[in-house]
Amino acid sequence: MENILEIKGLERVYKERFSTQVTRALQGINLNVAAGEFLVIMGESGSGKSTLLNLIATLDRPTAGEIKYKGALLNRLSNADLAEFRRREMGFVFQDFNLLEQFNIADNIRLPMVLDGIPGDEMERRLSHYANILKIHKQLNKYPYELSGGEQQRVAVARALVMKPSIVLADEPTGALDSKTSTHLMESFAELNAAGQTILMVTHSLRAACYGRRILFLRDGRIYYELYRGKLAPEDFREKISDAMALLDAGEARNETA
Amino acid sequence: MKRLKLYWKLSWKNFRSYKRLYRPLIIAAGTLLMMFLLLNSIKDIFNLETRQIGLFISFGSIVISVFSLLFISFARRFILRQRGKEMGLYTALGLGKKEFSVIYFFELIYSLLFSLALGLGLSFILGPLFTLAFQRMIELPLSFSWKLSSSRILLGVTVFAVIFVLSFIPELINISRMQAKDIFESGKQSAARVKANPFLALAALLLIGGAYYLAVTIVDPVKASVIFLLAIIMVIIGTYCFYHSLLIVILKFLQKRKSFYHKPQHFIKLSSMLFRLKAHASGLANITILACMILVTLTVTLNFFIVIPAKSDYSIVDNAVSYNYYFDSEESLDDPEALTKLLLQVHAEAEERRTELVPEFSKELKQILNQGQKTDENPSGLELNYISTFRYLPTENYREYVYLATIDSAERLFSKTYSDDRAYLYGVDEGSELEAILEAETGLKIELIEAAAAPRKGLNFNQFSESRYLFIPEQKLESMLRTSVEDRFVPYLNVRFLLGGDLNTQQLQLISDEFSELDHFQKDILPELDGSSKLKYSSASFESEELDRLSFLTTYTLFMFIGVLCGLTFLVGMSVITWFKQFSEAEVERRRIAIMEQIGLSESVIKKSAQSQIYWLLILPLFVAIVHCSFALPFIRKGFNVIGGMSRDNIFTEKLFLSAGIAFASLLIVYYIIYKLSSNAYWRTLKMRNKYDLRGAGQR
Repeated sequence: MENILEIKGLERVYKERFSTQVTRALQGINLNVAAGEFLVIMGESGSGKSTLLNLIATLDRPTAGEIKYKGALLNRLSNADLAEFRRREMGFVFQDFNLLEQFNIADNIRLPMVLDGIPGDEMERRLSHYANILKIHKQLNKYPYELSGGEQQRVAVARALVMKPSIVLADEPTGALDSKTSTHLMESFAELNAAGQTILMVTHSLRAACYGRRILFLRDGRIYYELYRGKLAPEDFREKISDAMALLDAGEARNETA
Repeated sequence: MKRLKLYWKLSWKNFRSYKRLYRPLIIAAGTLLMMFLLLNSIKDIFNLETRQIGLFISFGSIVISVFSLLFISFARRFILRQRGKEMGLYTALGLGKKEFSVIYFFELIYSLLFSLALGLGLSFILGPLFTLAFQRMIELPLSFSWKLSSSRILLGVTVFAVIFVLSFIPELINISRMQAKDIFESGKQSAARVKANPFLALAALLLIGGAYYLAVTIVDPVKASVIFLLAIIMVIIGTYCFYHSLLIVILKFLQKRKSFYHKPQHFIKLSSMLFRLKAHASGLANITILACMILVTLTVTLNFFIVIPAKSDYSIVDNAVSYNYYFDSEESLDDPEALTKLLLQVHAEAEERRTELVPEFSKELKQILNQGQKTDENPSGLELNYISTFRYLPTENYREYVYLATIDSAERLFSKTYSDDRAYLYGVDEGSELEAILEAETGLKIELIEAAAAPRKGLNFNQFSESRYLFIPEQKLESMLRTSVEDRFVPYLNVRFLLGGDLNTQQLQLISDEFSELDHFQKDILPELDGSSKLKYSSASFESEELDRLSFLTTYTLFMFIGVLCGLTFLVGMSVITWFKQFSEAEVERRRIAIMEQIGLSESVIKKSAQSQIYWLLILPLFVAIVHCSFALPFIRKGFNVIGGMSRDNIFTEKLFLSAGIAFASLLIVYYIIYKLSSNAYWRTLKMRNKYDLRGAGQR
């Protein structure tokens, strides 16, 4: 399968102004994401997972290394080109949904399509299609504040999908949801992935991570461990993830006592 | 005590941390205090204590004080709302609402002290300039220096201290009512569907449309002032209804048109405007009303400003002794013929005994006045360029006074012989419709007397417009007066003597002072002329061009300055509301922009979209204000008509559109500056770092 994303030697270093203090958020990240993959990135707070996602999403620029998307280097694109790239190739799902309050649900989903100048008929067709898949077709005339958290998150997923992106980037998508809603959302993700959608998700939730096909564990800005689901069911994969996280913690504790 | 010290230190720290919010408040309050002090300093500088001036200054002070309270309260309410999260934190850490109130009160004291310092400082810096400008305007020969008494300073400080304290009271009530969990949420905009009330939308159309209709259809200038007040109320209510409902209806209608709405440039803008309207409808209405007040104040003030220098082109009443008398109005309705006879009798007697009507001044004054050539007709040295006139309204449709006099008067005035078989019209241009009207009324051929034929001295009754005279044969006078119907016959007779010689201001003031004690016409001559007591003596006055000019200049210059200061007050208010609205928008917009960047809008598209939204949010109130004020111009014109004596050649009205144009342009320029300053602050707030910022690599 071809790689959608190729990352080599990625680094992100923060330097405080008027200070010599340096924070290495990411160091030497090498990573490939194949088309149709469901990759999950896990790690504790400060491990660099959100930084990695921001760099992949082109919302931040790396200090060193390169990111290739379908063979093209992203570092070289201008801000305007990056914006267009994000609109067409990427779909975003955030922890706090990030729907725009001034639009109703239908317009929130339509927004990227309107910006891209997609014709009206095609726009309505896609809206209807994803609204049905995500079971939000009855909420289209409502406003975000009128929906529950789970419904809002499904709207955000629909908005992420309408441009038929090559990759969906999800940052803690279940962070603001209860367990039942989280499960429903992840099942939707699994269905989308089964249909061929590439998904890259950052999470610290065990429940969410077990739906992924491959898990990367980050610690101190580096990839520490990798886990594949293979043919395991999500519930069974959960135990393996739990063991891996325990290993991560043990390794940390050993380092601290050493 | 220790706790108080802690709160005091905490409040100072807060005050410095929130200087972004406090700075506009202090600048606004300081500027308002400066205007209050400048206005009240007029009494100190010029020692002007006439009742009229005192009323003007009190009125202006009240306007500035009331609006200062409104604007400062608005600013402080806004600042408190922004501190919601901080208050929530204090509550969580164990600091109660009472303690927070104390800290907030100390911050109020800081903001008051800084405002007072700024206001006083500005007064002392700009005061001399103010004095200079005032003096230049009225061209008084004396020089004045800037003065602000301690009592005026104390007044200003007290008023503004009270204003600040009053603005704190509702905040205190709000803080006491807040629940802990609500405190955290108090800074956020509440989400709710934007709904339009169709009744309010209809009300907006009817009220505003109705006010505009009144403006263009009202004819009577006297009724206009009452109707104007009604129209103002209609426009104010209509404007609020417009922003709360009608505009929403319009925008929703545009939203429903998919071919228009689903275009990138309209999609975000329309939805954002609708969303913003919900939060800002009242604020936008306030800005519109304030802009209207500025435009009207500025237009009226500028009109006086333009007219004052031009006034020198118009010779008002020269130095003259003038007697006016009227019939008792109720009795005049009973028997017009008898009254006409009486009036003509007085007119004839006064003509014959005109030398007796000249006032008997004191010996000292006579010596001052005896500069002219003494004759039998002129024993006191007063030039007896005598004229007596009746006030006449030509037709019901042409309601501007014409002064009737005899041809004998014309021959005396213009030193020419005139024919008895026609009438002579003075004070109109050729081709005037009045000529045809009077020809029909008199049945005589009308001949124009050129303006250059005689000096205009003493002929103009009103200092702002030219009086029109119709000189008719004596035999025609009676029939014209008798056949006039009630609403055209104004039973009024004026007898006037012109004062010759070159008298200075001091001499004129002496004459004026002494003349006010004379009134011998009423005591000595009137009883002989009229035994029926139907004749009511109205007034005898000493009319002096020089004294009138000074009085006019002083009064109207003062009026103009009050207008400017009030206009500036409204402008400060408008700036405060606009600034804080922009600021609150920027805070909320940061999050929205971050989301839009992630969805895939480029920075330039986001900036363009946000800029056009700011633009429309700022321009819309100004546009609505200009439309409102354009329709207010007919009312203003009619007001000036009354001042100008209902003459069509009214110097106030001919300059009105120029004044309005300058007012509109000035406000546009000032508004643009406010827009630029607040937009820059808006963008600075937006560019503050957040999680999704696109800053360059290597730096946080």
